[in-house]
Amino acid sequence: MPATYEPIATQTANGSDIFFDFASIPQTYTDLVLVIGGATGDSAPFLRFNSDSSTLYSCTKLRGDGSSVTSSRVARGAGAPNDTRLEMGLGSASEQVTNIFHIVGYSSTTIYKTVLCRANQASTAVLFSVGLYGSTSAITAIRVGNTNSNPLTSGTVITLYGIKAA
Amino acid sequence: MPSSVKNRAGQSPTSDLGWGRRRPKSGGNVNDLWRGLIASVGDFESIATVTITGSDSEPINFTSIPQTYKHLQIRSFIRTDYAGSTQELSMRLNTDSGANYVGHYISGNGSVVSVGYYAANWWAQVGVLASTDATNAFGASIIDILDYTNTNKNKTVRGLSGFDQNGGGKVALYSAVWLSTAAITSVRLSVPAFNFKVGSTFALYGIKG
Repeated sequence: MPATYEPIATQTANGSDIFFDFASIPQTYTDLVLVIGGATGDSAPFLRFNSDSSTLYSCTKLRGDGSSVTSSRVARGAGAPNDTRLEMGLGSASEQVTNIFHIVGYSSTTIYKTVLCRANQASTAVLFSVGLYGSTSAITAIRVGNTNSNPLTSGTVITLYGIKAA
Repeated sequence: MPSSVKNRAGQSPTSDLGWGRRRPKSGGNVNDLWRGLIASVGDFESIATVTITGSDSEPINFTSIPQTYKHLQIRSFIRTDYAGSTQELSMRLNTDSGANYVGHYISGNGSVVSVGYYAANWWAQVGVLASTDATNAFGASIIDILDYTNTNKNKTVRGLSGFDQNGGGKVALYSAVWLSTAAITSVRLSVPAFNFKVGSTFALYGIKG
């Protein structure tokens, strides 16, 4: 049986890379899963699709820090750069953080793209978030970076997977 | 490794992905766990996919589910035909319509956090659903049904779902238990009193253990 859940590509940060681009993403899957394992630098990661830096991004978040739970939102019009990319994970300069992004229906040309994120940072918080890229264009490229535009910590691994439905 | 992957310096990766390893080999590096080794070919298989076409409708039924996997996962993007408040995705297992479902949830709508609990329900609540309020905005849902063939335990279901409508929306975590030790052979998903919009897609996967 052909692989259903398979790695597409992976990158390991060397401490100087400010962002990573996954380009020419095959359009043969149903969903994409992007896993960032490691310290993301001095701030949370962001995702930008198709080199699109227009104000088409918004998200809703749910965060627990061990003593309280909060919910927040970034809507279009919030001001650059917050609404020019999806900022919906957790980050740390030194602590190992897990950010897992599920990009469902990424190759559709009729719907906006929804992203679910689960992020875990043991000493700080757990975060669940949903983001919207308000474009019906199929996603063919993803840029992953640090919201402060600083390098991802050396050793951080970013892997892109494809999931193919029957 | 596709040459399409490049870093800021325009360099392609030098390392390739390994296959078939789930744990670091003796003397190996724990970072191997992150280098694309989470799943091996054939461990995660597509069982069936349903897409709503023609007209809005519900429910979705997965029947005669093979008993050869360890866990099930349902990945969906969904929109209902309801305009207004958020609806919940309901699940019924093996057509059991008895009061045999118990669950909890926590959700956030961008400003308010809500929690809830239900006992002895006729459905398991497993996700939140996007309404028609925002054009083209479908929500996403990932549901895990753990150890579904085990006849010695009740069945646990967890769901991560959400939708964002640029100024509106909700993200939620659900957990539920079906108070039955029967192996799961069918799953029904619905939004009572409303329909799934055309284009809503539900994909069932089996995970080997």
